[in-house]
Amino acid sequence: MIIEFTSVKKNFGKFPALKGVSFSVPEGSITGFIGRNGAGKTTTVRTMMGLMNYKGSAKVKGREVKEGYALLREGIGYMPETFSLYPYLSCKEMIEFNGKFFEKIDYDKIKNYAEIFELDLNKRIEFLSKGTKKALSFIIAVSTNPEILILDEPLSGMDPIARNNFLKILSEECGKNGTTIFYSSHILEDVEKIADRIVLIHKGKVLLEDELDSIKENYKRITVVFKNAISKKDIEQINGVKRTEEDGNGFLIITKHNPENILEQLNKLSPSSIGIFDMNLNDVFKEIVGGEK
Amino acid sequence: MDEKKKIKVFINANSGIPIYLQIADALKYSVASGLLKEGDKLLSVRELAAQIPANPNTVAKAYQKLIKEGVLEMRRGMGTFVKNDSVKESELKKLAKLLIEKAKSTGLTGEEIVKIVKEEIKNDN
Repeated sequence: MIIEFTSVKKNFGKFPALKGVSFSVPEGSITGFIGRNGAGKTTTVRTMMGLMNYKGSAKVKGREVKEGYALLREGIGYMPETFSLYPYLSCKEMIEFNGKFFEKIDYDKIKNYAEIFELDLNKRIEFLSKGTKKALSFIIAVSTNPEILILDEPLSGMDPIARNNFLKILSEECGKNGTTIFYSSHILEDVEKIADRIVLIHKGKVLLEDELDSIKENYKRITVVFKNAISKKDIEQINGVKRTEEDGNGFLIITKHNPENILEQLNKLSPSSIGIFDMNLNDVFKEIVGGEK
Repeated sequence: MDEKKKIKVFINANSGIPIYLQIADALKYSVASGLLKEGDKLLSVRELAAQIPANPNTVAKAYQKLIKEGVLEMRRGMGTFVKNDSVKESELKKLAKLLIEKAKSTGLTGEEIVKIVKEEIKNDN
């Protein structure tokens, strides 16, 4: 595991921002780190980058992260949520300034990606739109050909075309160089397009960590109507059922594991009708986060 | 080196169906419909992933699935090719299965389903 968090805790005064966060990121994966505003996403990312003290264990490339340790130098690209770009510099000057801190900058890549984003490198940063500033910040983060790319809310402010370009580049970076990408977002529609793994954080705790494909295969919505009197309890005791509620004359069931088996068990109870429906990441997110008050 | 056959793969990433399954289905449809023929060379995993855009690991998973099913084959050092383009029937069977499942879920019997399908074929002519 190229990133490994074990029971990481962080308080801001009396407020517990991270209440024992554990998850891991396999090499070469694209992990979507999702959660509501204030869930602890940025705190986790900043901990990962060595920008914060913490309790517990946070390992990147097998080494414990130390506050103030220059992780950026160790093959890690970082795009912070709020970028520190100097408004009075041109994009070119900003890239050159940043380049002084690194041994190798891939200027061909910068040129190529700037063209994709239709970013005029001679323009002064203060005249860029919000989304274009994000694109510049992203280009700077990948310009060192990092082994790990850590992105904090990279897509907010980007228009649909820019977002699509951004996803294409992530796909290429991961496919060509085997770059591990860890990217936080609350825009689930985009996470769903590119991530193969999901880590869901809510109120400082990880509530879900799995492959996106498995999530979609395990979480299903079933509606069922029975001929005979079947109680809610009968359904709830079936292995893999997350939640059951009465729905009209029947029941609505949310599964979290092995839906085929649940379907089989329900069919044994002789239903008059039974239907199974897919859930997307947004549906699953609402189901998990909505239930945690 | 054979030329790669470029095809467009459209998916709905925001549906509840795993993306690798959608990609595999889209490729199978391309084969069934003749967009891809036996012996055609496909885009590499990386190229197709960037085109969609999707996660390369997910595209690799879709290719693996189709290799296992005998639709595609990997030729070492050369790329991925269409091995067998007789997937029309299996594609139809899958659709029929889906139809039966859906119909049964509303309580219809097998005979009733057949009757409705026959009627609809008549209406189509």
